[in-house]
Amino acid sequence: MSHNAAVIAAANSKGGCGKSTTILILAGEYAAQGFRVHIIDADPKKRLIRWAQAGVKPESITVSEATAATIRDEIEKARAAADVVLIDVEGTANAALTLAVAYANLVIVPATISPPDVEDGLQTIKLIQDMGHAARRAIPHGFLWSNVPPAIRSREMMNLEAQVLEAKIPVIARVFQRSAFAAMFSFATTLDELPPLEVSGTEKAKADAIRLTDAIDLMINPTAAEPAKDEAAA
Amino acid sequence: MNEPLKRRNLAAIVTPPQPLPDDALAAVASRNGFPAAVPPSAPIAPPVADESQRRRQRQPTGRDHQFNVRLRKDTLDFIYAQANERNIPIAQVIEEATDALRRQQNGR
Repeated sequence: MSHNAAVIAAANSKGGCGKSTTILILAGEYAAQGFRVHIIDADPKKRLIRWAQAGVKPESITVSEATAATIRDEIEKARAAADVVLIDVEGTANAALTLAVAYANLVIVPATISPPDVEDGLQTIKLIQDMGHAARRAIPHGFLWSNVPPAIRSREMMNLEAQVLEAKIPVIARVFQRSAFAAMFSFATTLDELPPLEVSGTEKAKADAIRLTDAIDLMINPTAAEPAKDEAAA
Repeated sequence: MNEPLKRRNLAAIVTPPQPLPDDALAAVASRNGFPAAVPPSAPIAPPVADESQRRRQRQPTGRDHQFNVRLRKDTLDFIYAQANERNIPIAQVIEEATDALRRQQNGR
C-alpha cells in the first residue's frame, strides 16, 4: 500500500508556548482541505482529548491519547489510518517528546515572544537536529512564533527573532494573538465551525491557518511550489 | 483554494521515517538533556518462561489438603495420562474418580 501519512509534531520542552493551539489550528485546516487527521495527545493534561470529547469536531478529525510507553503504537496505528498525524506533547523535557521527534516528518517548535520559550525551544531544536544527524535523515523543523501581538512589533520580539536568525533556525510562521484561536478551545471545535456571531476575527485566523499549512507543506515538499513534473505522465 | 496542489505537497512523503534503535535514541536524548525514551510497548515476556511451561499455573481451587500416597505404576500412569491428555490438574482426576465411585455406590 502506498499510503503514507505526514507525521507532524509540535514540540517544545517549555509549557504554555502554544503547542496545543498550533495542533488545533492545523487539525482544523487540514480537515478543511479534505485530509483525514488524527491527533495524538501525549500531554498528561489531555486538553485535546477533552476538546474532542466536549465539542463538535469534524468527523475527519480523531483524537487519541498516548504516554511515552504507548506513543510508538499510537503513531503506527495513526499512520495507517490517517493522512495527517499531529502530535502534541507535554511541555517538559520528556521521553514522549523524544519519540515524537523520532517518528516525525516535520517538527514545529512553537514559542511565544519570551526568552524562556526561545531558550527551551533552542534546546528542543538541538535534540531534533541531533536526531536527524543520528538517523541520517532530514527532519524539517522550525520555530513558530505563537500568540504574537498583532499591532506592535516590540523590541523584545526583534531581539528574539535576531537570536533565532543567528542560530540559523528557520521560522515557519507567525500565529497572531486572536480570540478565534482561544475560542477553538472554549467552543471545543475548529476555526471553520466557530459561531461567526459570537467570535470575531475568524477570517483573519483562518488566513493565518492557511498560511501555516502552506508553509508546512512547502517544508515537507520543497519542490511543491513548482508544477508537478510527474502529473502529465500520471 | 488549490486543493490538488496541497494534496500533492503532503503526498511527497514516500517513506515513513524509521526511528533509531532504542540505544541510539537514548543516546541522542541524554546528550541533549532529555530523558532516555522508554522501551517499546511490546508485551513483557513472563520472567521465567521455561519454568512456567513445565509447571502448571496456580489458581485458587480450594484444594488445600496434601495427600501423599504410594501407588502401583499403572495406576499412577493412568492418572498422569488423564491429566496430560485433558490438560487438567491431577487433583481433578482424583476428584472425578471419586465422583465416579460415589455415583457407582449410590446407584448400587
